[in-house]
Amino acid sequence: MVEVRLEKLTKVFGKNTVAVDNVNLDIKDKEFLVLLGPSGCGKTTTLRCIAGLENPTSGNIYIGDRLVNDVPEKDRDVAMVFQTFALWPHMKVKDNIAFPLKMRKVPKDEIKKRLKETAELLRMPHLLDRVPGQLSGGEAQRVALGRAIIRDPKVFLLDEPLANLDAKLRVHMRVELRKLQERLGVTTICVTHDQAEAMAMADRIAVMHQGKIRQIGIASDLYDHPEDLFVAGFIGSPAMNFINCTYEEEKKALISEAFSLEIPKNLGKEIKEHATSSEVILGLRPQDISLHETQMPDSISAEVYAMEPLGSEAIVDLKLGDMIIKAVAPPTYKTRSGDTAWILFDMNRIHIIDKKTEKAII
Amino acid sequence: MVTAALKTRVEIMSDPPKWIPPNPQWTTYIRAWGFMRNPPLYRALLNSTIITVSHTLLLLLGSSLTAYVLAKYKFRGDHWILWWIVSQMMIPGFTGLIPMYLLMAWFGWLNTYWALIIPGAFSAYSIFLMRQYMITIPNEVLDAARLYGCSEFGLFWRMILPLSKPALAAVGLINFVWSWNDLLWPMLVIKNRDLFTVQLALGGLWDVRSSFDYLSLVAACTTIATLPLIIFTIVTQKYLIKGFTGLSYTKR
Repeated sequence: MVEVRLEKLTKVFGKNTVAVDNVNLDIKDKEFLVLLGPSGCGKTTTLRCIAGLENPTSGNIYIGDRLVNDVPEKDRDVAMVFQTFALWPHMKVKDNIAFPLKMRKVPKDEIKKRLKETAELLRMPHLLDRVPGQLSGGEAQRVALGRAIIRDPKVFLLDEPLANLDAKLRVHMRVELRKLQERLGVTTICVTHDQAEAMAMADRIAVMHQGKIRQIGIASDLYDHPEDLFVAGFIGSPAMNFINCTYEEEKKALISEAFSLEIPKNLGKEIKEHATSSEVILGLRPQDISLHETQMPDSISAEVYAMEPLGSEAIVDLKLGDMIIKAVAPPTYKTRSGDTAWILFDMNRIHIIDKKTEKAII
Repeated sequence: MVTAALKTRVEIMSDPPKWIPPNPQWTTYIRAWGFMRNPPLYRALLNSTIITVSHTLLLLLGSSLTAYVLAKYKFRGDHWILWWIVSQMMIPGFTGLIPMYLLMAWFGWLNTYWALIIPGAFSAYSIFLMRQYMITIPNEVLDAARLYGCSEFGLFWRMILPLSKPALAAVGLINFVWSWNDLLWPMLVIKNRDLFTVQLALGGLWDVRSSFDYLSLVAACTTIATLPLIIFTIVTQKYLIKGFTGLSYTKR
């Protein structure tokens, strides 16, 4: 049973660069947790604190039941795969992989046996006698993984493990990584800025922004029920459209500069109860906007600004007043810029966010 | 110099000079061994080898450790220390000659190997050059080693030193050549002829035996004295080229 617990973890660099800000996080045994966020949000620093490569400014880190704040990195029994793989270029692949065992003074026969097992598990017995300079990106990554798993770590830390691979391999490796983690049953924390990667691999995702954890949940939770403006805008591709609106109670409608949108009564009630003012942000996923060539009841007219046919779908940029919003249309949808499109919002799937607190109301 | 040793007395003085003598006098090289008596050539070579090798090793160890700390650790005043070290490069070597002599006299190191080995072992240039190289070694490579159980000194020994080979070779060669060829300092601190370095011994050839009769023998001795440098350069050349030109760590 290896759980990892972060309690009020804070890391300040220099005098006032707060990289990690009061982070509380519980990672369950055998769980694959992904820390997701844009670059500079503190996710890597959090990982390095767990690894022991950084000393937290305040807060506690527990691995299992042990408080590890003062335990040196080599005694924490964690393994880490670095973004650049960080192989040792002057050592052969087999020496790279066997190094953690050698440092622990494991007997030679045992090292040999484990080296063979690990190499077979990662399908790389043919690479053992090469030096890292002769490896491709994918091979180097397997070596880095091998070095990490050879001594059966309690916790497995991955820092952007797929960032240095080419696009095709990345999609393949994220499944492989997930499978490997399931087979080994190791508690894993992975850092990435790529939401598709996060959603493909994670049991749970923790979204980080400016040193804080904004929301933790399974992928569909984050997508369907974002708790604040940042998560709403960060998760999903293309990104959610945000439209500044004022809620008018008498009309039960959201008024923006381009349109007035009547909303169901229950939504109106929610806004009235939870919003700090009548200023709200309407969040619409491009997938929840449907396009029509003719006027429909409640539809809003918009000008087609640009079109990106992607094959499996088409992304249409629409001009609403001064705003440009994105909508996803079926691949068969034909239009040219300058045309008028009639758009309908899926009212069951709209998001309303308080403009002042940036917290989601619906 | 190499061919002059193979010439006869007449050929050396001929005008225009003959570059390749028609009858090379190979025996000159053999005779050269017995030519120098006080000290004998082999003794001078031995002295020079002991001094140069230990001086270079000591310097490499000292400057790589200093460079490692300056390149990879942050502590209060680290850049002031670097500033101070770099500023040493601006002081002409000659100004330190007399104070250093007095210091050696005070230590009682005059007429010992120590006077030749220790003073040059601090070299601002070497520290600076190695620090610049070590800075290019990615921190992640070192972090990985720490995480997988390497101590801080193990890090230096197992990671930094092998990865800095090109810089070590460059610095090593510069100092090897400099130490081997140095004449002024040994002349000041060594009076005991048994401790004469090759350069001092060769300098000694000038007084009594510098008649034309012996010119080819002097040339042979000088050639023999240069041989170790040539061998050393060939041995380290693979790293040298990288050390002087690239001066940065290669990825993966």
